[in-house]
Amino acid sequence: MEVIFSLFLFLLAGLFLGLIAGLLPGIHSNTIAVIALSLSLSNSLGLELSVMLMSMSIMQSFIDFIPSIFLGIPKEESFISLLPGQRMLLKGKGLHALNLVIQGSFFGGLIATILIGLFYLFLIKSEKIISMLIPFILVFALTTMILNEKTLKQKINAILIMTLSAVLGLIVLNNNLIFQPLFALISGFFGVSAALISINTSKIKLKQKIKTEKISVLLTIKAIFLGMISGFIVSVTPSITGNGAALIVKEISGKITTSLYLMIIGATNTVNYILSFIVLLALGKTRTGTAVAMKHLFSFSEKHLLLIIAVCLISLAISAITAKIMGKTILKHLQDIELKKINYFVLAFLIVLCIVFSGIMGLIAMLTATSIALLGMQLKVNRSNCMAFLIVPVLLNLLM
Amino acid sequence: MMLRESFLNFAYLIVAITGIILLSFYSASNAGLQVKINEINDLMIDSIVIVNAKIDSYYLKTNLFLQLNDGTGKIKAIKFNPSIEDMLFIEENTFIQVKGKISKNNETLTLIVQEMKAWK
Repeated sequence: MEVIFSLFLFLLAGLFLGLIAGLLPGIHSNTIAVIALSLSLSNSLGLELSVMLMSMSIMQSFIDFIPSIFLGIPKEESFISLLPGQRMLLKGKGLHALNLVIQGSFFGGLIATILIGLFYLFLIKSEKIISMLIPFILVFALTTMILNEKTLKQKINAILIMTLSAVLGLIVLNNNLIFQPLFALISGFFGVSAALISINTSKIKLKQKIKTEKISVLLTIKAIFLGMISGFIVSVTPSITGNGAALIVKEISGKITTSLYLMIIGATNTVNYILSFIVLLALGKTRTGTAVAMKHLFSFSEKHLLLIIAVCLISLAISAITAKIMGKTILKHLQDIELKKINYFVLAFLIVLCIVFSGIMGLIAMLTATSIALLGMQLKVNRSNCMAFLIVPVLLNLLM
Repeated sequence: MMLRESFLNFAYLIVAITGIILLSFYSASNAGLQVKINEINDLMIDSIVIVNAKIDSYYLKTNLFLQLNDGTGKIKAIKFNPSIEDMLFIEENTFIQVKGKISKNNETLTLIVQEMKAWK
């Protein structure tokens, strides 16, 4: 009884920390994981702290989307949801966008948890083959992004935006002078640029539909399937994020609806976190900061599969409920504020945060990324082309 | 077909309950994790384990000090204030089952015995 009580207590503590990490930009579960690691020098609470980190990651994978969708504040794991999420927000469907992500996360995570045993066996057998396929998938994704543009002029413009983004990504991501370079770049490409555009174009209030819309079973099944694929890609491939994999899946599956895309992104993030625990267990490799900390905290083996499944299930259920309640509460308070004011706030917030975390060099990187994104908008090409800032460095990293 | 809110809430509840049941199973089955002595390491400090081993040697002061050997390795075990019942089967080269907490004393991993019984 004592064992279950202490494990449950740490699980709840992790959920609370995940909530904080998800809501506050600039704070990531990886940061908390490092703190947890330093707190456990005596190794006396290794298992309990690992449970805390697992539940924290899962909660954060749900909550991350609240600032992304409602405020346009991009977070490392969810920034790709910003564009479709904000589109729905402007149509008064912000809560529906969040519900789509939550449903994708919950059911994706649930199926991943149920299939943990199969993944465990599959990983041991096929790790090398999967790694060999990744560069081809990335090249395919870049090519498809260009081909998706309608006219020849747009295709050429897309190549220009991709080249500029890739060069910036290569310079910044290979430069150790900037702390948290991803934050600076993501904020520039997807946060500041979106806020600037909104300030110029919008005088509306965020009047939102608070009544929940139903989501179809078929959509959920499609999202689970595609989310599992992209979550799996992230969890086994070094240097690729959930957003990158979601984008690849989007490109592979062709034209998909905004609703389906949001569900896939949700599923991808949660599946990635859950599978990262299994990758640690099966291969001893770490793909997330949380997994790195867990590796140092406790020696996991097959004996702990049941514990991992239990922690995942409890965390999934509580995270989904918490995200729904938090989303509804926050949106109720936000909808009376003029959108322009929110955008000014987001803009100031991102700039201050960038200076605090990444310094003046980070601010320069962020402003450069903003300029590239704005240029892309002026040239009327998809802003997802800016994703080349991450895909190209990852590709080169894999090929070299 | 659409997923109703009530169905989703029901799903969350079922998943949470299933998780709690599995956690209880885990806790029950790991109230003492059966291990070989060579599997015991620094990361297991404070964990409760069960070891089946032979008594290589022992001595008794206020506490009982044992040297256990299971063929994979050796570990020192301490039983604080042993009872007369505890001492009944303590003899060199006899097999015992020990349940206890892993601890580190003077850079040496030690088993702090909670329960022990003869093992055949």
